[in-house]
Amino acid sequence: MTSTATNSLQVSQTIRATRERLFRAWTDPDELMHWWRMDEEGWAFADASVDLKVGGRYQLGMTGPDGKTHRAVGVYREVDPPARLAFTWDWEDPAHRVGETLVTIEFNSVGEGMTEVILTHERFTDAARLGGHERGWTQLLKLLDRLVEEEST
Amino acid sequence: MVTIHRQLDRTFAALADPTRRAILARLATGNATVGDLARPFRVSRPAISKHLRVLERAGLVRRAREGRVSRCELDADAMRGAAEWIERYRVFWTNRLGDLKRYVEQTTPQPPTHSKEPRS
Repeated sequence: MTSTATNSLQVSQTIRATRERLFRAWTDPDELMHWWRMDEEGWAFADASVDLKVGGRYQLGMTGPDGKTHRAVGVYREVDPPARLAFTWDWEDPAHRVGETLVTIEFNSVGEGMTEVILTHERFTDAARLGGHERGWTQLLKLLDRLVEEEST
Repeated sequence: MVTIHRQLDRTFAALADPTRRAILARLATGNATVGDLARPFRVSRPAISKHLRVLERAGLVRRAREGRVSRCELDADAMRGAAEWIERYRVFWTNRLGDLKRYVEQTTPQPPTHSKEPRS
């Protein structure tokens, strides 16, 4: 069995800003477009829509190096400004579906105008299994490629 | 190379049998003993053991002895794949929080009374 340790991840960052400002940065499309750029390896912000209430949907679109727009989609599970935000996370494209994983963001005041942002991404069970399978098949296909290449030379 | 041919032959041969595919599907939900695996099939334990040997040689299944019981699991590759997948997301979110920090700190006016924090 996979241990729970491999089913979740947590990252954090201390930022010189108030909790209110950071909560807004995560939930206002006009703010998201400024920092959700993914500019490494040719990724760029495409569009964002936010229906900020428990049960409301969001979409975060990113344009990849291939020119296609990939959208992260989900539903808000907790909206508790400025302390806490939780939403499900998946991809719109059926080919990239990972199952319903959950992202929780906590905003903790850690001094005058300083906030610690703790992001937890969990419930990877299905996603991880998908990832593992995908890799297994990729390896098999690679092997087949090599074989066919050899046979044709 | 001959070794690739053999490896492929073994993998495809292993996957070509419905009982072995069912064993793999069962192991995908968690580790199991030979007894656990034999129960749903109308075949003897030795027959299951034989199927397991084929799966082991194909690199699809691993067996670990725990006392008198041997426990079967899918080969570690799939599990490693899962760990790598989560690692990719860790990098993804670390980069996002880094971008957020850069953007917000550039656009947040500094309170004049508390300027002891070193600027990075």
